[in-house]
Amino acid sequence: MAKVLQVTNLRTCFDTDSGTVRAVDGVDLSLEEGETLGIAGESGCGKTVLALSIMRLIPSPPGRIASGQVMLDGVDTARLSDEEMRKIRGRGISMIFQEPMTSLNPVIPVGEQIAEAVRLHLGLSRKDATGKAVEMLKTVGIPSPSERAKEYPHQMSGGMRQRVMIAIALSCRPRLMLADEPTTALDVTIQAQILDLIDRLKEEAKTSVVLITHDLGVIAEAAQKVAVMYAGLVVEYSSVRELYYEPRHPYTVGLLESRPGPRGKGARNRHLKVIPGTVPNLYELPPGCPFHNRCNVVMDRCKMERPEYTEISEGHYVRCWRISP
Amino acid sequence: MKIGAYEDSGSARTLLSVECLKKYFESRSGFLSRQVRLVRAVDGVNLRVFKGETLGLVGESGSGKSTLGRVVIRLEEPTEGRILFDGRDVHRLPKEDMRSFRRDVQIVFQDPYASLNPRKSAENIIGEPLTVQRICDGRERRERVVRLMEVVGLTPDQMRRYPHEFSGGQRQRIGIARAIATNPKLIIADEPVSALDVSVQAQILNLLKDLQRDHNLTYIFISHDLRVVENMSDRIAVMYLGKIVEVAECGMLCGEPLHPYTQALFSALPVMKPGERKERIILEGDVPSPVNPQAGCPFHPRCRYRIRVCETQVPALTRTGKGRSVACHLIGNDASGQGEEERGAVI
Repeated sequence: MAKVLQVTNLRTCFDTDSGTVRAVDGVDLSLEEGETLGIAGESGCGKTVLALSIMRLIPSPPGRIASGQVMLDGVDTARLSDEEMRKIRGRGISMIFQEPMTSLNPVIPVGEQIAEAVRLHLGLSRKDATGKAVEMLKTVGIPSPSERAKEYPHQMSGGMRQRVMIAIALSCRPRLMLADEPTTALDVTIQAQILDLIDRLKEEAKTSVVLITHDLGVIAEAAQKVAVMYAGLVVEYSSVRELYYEPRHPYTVGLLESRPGPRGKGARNRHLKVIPGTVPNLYELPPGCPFHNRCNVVMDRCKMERPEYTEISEGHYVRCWRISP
Repeated sequence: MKIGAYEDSGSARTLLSVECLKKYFESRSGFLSRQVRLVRAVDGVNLRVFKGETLGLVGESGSGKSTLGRVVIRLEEPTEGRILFDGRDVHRLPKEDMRSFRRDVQIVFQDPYASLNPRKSAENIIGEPLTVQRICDGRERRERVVRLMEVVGLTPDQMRRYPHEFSGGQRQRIGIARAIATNPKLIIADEPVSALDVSVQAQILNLLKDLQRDHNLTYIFISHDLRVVENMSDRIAVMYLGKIVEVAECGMLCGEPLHPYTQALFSALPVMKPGERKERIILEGDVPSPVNPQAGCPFHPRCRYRIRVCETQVPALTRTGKGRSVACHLIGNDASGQGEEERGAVI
């Protein structure tokens, strides 16, 4: 199958007064048509910067893509002019964000915001674009769409606003959609609706999805591939099934174990397993493996050399000296 | 085991009892508007908390769980109903008894970034309740703070630091140290781990469990995260639009939820088992607003089992069996006949 997205050795840095932060520090990923890739990680691990780098939306300065390649449908995005890139955003790639309230324009009715996207990218007339906007609102499950199209974002609930974001993102049938914590601000019952919706629309439009979230449960349900990030690096990448049933990297194992699951008897008095310490500050990364000071199987080598990104079985990559010396 | 407290739900074991509690807020639709709308944040709640247990309070945003917590600790005055702590009405305590109530009941807030005074050092934040309560001062207070910091897993040499110098997890530890400083009996933990990274959440949950064991604490643990509540609680109460729709012993509620809303909540939870797709109940519509709610059962507009009576009558929270009460017209009373309807009674 064709690779919709191929990221090779991507590095994104931010030059700040207190030094250079390597927010994404050598990431390799690929995604095939119709697949969903989950990117898991805690705050500050570089998930969002990775997505913005793929979109070429890194604010510069202070940010810059220091090295690496992002291929979209075989086209190297670095070779495109700003104008060409703008055309790709929307038609080729689109993005939805965590907090729909801050990414929608508060003074423009939601219908017009969808219409704007399709006018720009698909070249529809004003009238056709309005019709398309109503149709999209209907697709994402908003009741009485023609009336709702005239409403402003603040008149809608969080779940409704996220649906509008999805309507905008999918209105031009992009090849790839980046969803950055699309359900984090929502209640569980609404989260279930939105994940269901993304899955259904993805099938219909044959869109590939990159789903960024800190919630491993969401990825288990929605994705086929998963990349676990830590301090700007992908530390483990595999099929979802392999990662959940046979996690290899100590950080992945820790993340999966520290999350309370459906409990058995006596769980009330049992301790949860814990990863000691906290997520590192990117300004003060330890040398060697960035996880070594929290790792329970650390070796001397881990403190000196950064582990290589190694394929340990077909399609399963790990960055750990314990597993791939 | 503290479970099974239902058999002898006598007053001796009850630390806190919430009776027919209502808390309404007035909301104006615009700055100059005269139209006043009522927000029924807590709308008729009956609840008991037993000594030494953790009562989990779950619900989605706007369900009233935080407001309930805030009324219990007297950060808000109730509109109707009363709260008995150790048998005494919290909102009618004379001034001198109020001080001891403040000592006995403490709260841990959700956002450790917003709930700590940025201009105070860790020592002053943790030690402040000791001064205010006139428990100790000076060198003695410092010694207490040192011990408290050790108990919650901070190092005493950090006590001169200010909140911005700590990570989120450490700040939450400061908040917890402050809460236990006065040796309280009851701690209300309002979403204590929601703002923390996954790998840090487990650390804080373990700390709360240790403190409960060592200091004989009672918790009301408020969270929207069912898995966290399930792990922490002896009993769980599920709130929807200001009302409790189901309350049961934890294993029972999570193993076999009875109320259609509780069922939907559990069914919406993602499972960490790829490939094992479960039948999922997808609720229609949004969480409705507590402003001027519809008549009948608060859940009926989204309920897939609704019958006609649900649209007109509010179901009472009714005992359906040992250790469980449900508010649903479709779920019958205890077959053994003991569970006659307890309309308005203390559950």
